[in-house]
Amino acid sequence: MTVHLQRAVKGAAAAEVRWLETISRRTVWVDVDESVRRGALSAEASGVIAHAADTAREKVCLS
Amino acid sequence: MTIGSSGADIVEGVAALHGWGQAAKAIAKCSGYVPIITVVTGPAVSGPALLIGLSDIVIMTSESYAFVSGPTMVAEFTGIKINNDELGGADIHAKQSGVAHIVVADRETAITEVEHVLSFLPDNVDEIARATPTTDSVDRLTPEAGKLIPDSSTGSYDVKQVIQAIADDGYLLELRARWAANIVTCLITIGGQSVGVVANQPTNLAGTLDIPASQKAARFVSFCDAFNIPILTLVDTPGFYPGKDLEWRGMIRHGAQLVFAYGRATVPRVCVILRKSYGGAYIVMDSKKMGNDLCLAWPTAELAVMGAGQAAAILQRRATPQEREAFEQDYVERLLNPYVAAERGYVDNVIDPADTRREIAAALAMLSDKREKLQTRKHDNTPL
Repeated sequence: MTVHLQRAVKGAAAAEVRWLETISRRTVWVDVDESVRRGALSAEASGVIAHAADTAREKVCLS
Repeated sequence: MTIGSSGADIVEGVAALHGWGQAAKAIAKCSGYVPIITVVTGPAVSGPALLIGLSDIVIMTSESYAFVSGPTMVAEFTGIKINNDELGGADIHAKQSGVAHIVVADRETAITEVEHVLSFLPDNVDEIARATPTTDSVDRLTPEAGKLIPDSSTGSYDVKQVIQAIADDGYLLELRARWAANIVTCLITIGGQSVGVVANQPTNLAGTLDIPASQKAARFVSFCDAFNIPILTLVDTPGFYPGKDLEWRGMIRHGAQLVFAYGRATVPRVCVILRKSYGGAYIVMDSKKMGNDLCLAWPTAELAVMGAGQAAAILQRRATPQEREAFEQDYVERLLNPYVAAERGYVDNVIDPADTRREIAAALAMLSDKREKLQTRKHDNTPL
């Protein structure tokens, strides 16, 4: 089951909590997509990265 | 994190720069709490390149590149014309800078490699890595490991073959394989449990420690310690690599990084001395008083301040060739062995190489409940 984080925020960065079936692990994934404005990081896109990192540290991986 | 980025959004201006700063701060705060793995799938230029540097493990695809300042800036400031690949291609970061831990063909392979790396790691700093199922008995003998040591003390061998003999199913995941190849850093399992291995590599620079080797090993020791991965150190080093250039570039500072990393590591630490173990480099490589929990040595181990030839050059400067030869022979017989150190407690046991895997497994089992805490402080001040 994948849980998207801040999905509606526009820009090159997308984040989700992804279950890796092969190793039975929950991970926080961030994708900075080169095909979206050559991956240029706007303040909002960087905010998605920061939010994902905080989620990993405070909520998902430490829970 | 997978990243393909041309940098901060120029159109957005200074707000984009501050946004990048926010992301960098959040990732830095993850350090030592959760493993940070970054896959570089395209360009990673300027600020985003530094995000890569914050990661615990960096996997680059062969077409990717990364740099802080690009070819245009390089040409403008230095007059040197260089392209993206030459400046910061995956090959360069695998061999020259050490930024890339692993290089793979494409994104799909990179994702598989992420899962592979994660299988050796815990979810976070409060856990230990899950065991990997294996049918390889921890009591398996490893006579092939001892046979690798050449008769000549200056002969070389591939220490990765020793690691393969020790590891479950002969498998090792080497990190930063092409950078600072005079030291090997890899993840293995023994009895299914993750173990980080640091090993001098005699086939490259005779296994000496230089600046890149010190940095590579220090970062790896720190990584293993952060994520509760026991450390196995295999020693065969004639010492630090000498040279004016090395000293001027800060051999002291970088050598201290490795000392510091071992000195503060609280995970179970087992050291096996395979052959040469001379001087300061011997002490740095997780020696007894540096804090290893168990020190084993093969009968071929040579624990000394220096080799026989070096000692003769210093102590027998005015001696005849015959006198020097006699001195060296006596030095080898009396001092270049593991038994003097064992009598003083610096080596816990001299073992048959065939027993290496089971001795290490027994040591790690003994240490599985080890709980060592550092004194509480704001944070340490790592020599960088």
